[in-house]
Amino acid sequence: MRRKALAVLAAIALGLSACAGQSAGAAGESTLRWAVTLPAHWDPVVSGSGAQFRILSLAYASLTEIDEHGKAVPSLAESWDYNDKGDQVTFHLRPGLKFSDGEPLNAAAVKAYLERAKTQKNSALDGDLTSIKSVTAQGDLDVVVQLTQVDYQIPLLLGERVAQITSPKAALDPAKLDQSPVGAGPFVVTELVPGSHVYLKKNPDYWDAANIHIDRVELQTTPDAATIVSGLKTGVYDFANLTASQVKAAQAAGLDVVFQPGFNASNISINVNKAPFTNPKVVDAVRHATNRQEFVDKITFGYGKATDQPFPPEYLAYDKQSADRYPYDPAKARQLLAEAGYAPGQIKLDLVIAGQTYATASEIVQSQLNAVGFDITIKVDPNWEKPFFAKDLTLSLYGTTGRESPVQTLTAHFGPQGPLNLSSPYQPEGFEKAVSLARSTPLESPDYEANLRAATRAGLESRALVFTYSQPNIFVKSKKVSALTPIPGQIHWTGLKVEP
Amino acid sequence: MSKALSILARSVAIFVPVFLVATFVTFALRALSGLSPASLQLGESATPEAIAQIEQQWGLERPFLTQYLDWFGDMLAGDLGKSWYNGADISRLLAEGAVISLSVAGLALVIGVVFGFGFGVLAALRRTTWVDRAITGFMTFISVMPSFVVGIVLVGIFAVGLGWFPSAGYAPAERGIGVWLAHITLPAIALSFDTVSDVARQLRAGLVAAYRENYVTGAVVRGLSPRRIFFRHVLRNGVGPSLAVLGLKFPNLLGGAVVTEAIFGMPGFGQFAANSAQRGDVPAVQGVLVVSIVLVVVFNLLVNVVLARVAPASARGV
Repeated sequence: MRRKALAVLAAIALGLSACAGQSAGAAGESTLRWAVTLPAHWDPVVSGSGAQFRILSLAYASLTEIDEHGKAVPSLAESWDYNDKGDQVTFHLRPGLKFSDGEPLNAAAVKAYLERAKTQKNSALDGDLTSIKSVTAQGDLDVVVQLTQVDYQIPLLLGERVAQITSPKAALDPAKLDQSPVGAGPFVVTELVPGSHVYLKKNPDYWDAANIHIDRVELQTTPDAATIVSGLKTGVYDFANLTASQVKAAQAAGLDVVFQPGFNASNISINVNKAPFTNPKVVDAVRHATNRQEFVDKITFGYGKATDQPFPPEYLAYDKQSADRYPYDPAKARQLLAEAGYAPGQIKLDLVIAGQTYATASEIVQSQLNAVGFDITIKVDPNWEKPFFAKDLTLSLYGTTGRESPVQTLTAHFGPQGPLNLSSPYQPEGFEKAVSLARSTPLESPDYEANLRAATRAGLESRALVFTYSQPNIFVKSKKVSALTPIPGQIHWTGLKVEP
Repeated sequence: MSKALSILARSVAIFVPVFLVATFVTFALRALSGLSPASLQLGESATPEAIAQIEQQWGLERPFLTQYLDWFGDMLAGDLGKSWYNGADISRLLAEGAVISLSVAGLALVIGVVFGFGFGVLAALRRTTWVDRAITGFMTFISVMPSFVVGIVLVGIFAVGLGWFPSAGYAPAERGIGVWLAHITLPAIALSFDTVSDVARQLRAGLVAAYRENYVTGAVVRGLSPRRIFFRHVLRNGVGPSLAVLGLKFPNLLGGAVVTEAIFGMPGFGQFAANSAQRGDVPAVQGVLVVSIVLVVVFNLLVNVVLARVAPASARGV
């Protein structure tokens, strides 16, 4: 009996081995199999973080794109121009664009999208669009954007993150759109099972379809970090997001590890409206107690960089002048706490974090702060967003995947309404003026870089944030996939090739 | 047949109150956890006003019993509500995931039964010889191997090393039975170890005990063939414990799937449960629990019925 069963199983196993690694697509089709954490939302208005917009960019095209130098370049909009005063910008759309449901992608569709992003109740973008007063369609191709202030950042702002244009017809039912995307991107979704898989095929109507060389994209849920590398090695996936801990294993397996530049930066968020941080000396003690290299070593496995700004050190808006203003100096931190009148262990604080993502970071912060005389307890709150964005927490951790507009990154961190400013409405003195100057400097102006850095400097006066480290976006791909264009914060599908 | 029916009826009578209590506790989890859909949906735009609005939209400000009765009514109609995380229909997500998990757990069960019975019978027939000792030793060894370790080892050998099987992912049976089997084989093997060893050990113990009974000695004395003694007298009387173990194993297989599905990147029931729980997606977790309760109870029913037919003595105590 047992022998028969064994024989049957052996036969099945032999039969199977012939099928292993077989692909689902038809022969000769080039398919990109991407193991990725699937986005919960497919309506760009609802979708939240920068990491998700990278995935949504398969199905949606945006008004502008970012090039390798972080500059805005044409996409759906062929060109744009500002009025003389700088408070109105007109985007000129490419003619003949259409959505995958056949609807025309014209000025009215862009206007409808921007207005929806500003007004829809569950919009994740309304806070990003405060500069926009009104949008009007001039004829079929010209979108006129009226601004509340002089703002030359708009072409950057209306890039992948904020202006992935959705079909106005599909947007009549936002709940359905959120489950089945209708855009004008390089690919069209053919099958979408939330939490399981998403299949897309090339969109022949995409404006740059000639430069899209992939026929099919299959998004699959990521396996455990421990088996991603074997998945790529055996050809189950071609492309995957990689954790820093797996970089060595991937390289050892002969796979390409891609360090894609990003805007990511992590921070310790402080509420200066709450004791003990109402005393600037206590904030300074935190600043001097922070050893950034430890974050780089233990969280990014050495692949990140220490930063004391909301930008990675190689970024345009990074202010070298402000670098290392509060060097790691635990002795000084201890002294500052004493000067503020606190005995070691007297400041008992909860470090409230969102969950797993910040687990290691919270332990590092705890040990560094406790070493200088704080008494920190880590609290994981699954409802973390509630107290954090209500500005009820005293001490927390957060990070950003960044925004294409550096001015927006600054206001998000330091502005009075900034979601990442735990101390709002507090803002450092002089920040408003410096930001306004940076905003009103044309991107081509020779003063732009200097004004931008001055705004960063002014923002860094804020006591609400202590920046710790930045990390590139890490991907792993098989040799079948051609090189990625190193565009900060984004992935572009244009020109990418996969051997069939 | 009527005996089976009466067992069925009695089991259903037990099932209904269990189901009511279990679903009530399940539903109360939300109130106890204090979780809110707002955290999941709003992200950086989670202002206090927006949070209040979302909670109202989900009807969370209504009295608890009203919410429970509504939810219970919908559930009986097959509607488990919408996920807080992505707004998708939970019944549909569960059905999609269950197909994958049942494929893996089902194959694991088949492997568990075939090899568990095979090894158990062999050990019992060759009791106290080196074959018996070797099998018992090996069963003890594999019973302590966690499925995620086995999974990673299997991937290393059969996917990366030999290239016989895909290392991850799932392909539905519509793409071809071979492809489907190829994807579920390694996870099913990883998952089956525990079942193989438990079934084998219970069966061996049951059979060895049965061989010591007087009626077996009597049968031998009467000159019946060993084959007839085994099937008529020994197996029938000794199989009870291993069948009961099997009844407990099925929920274990689904539970174990949480880990194997993560290792093999399969978007099944287990992954869905784990992810939903981590995200605090309460309606999804409630859906998972409801389906689990039903599956466990139904499987136990099945085993009770089978047991009653194979070993009638087992029905007496129900």
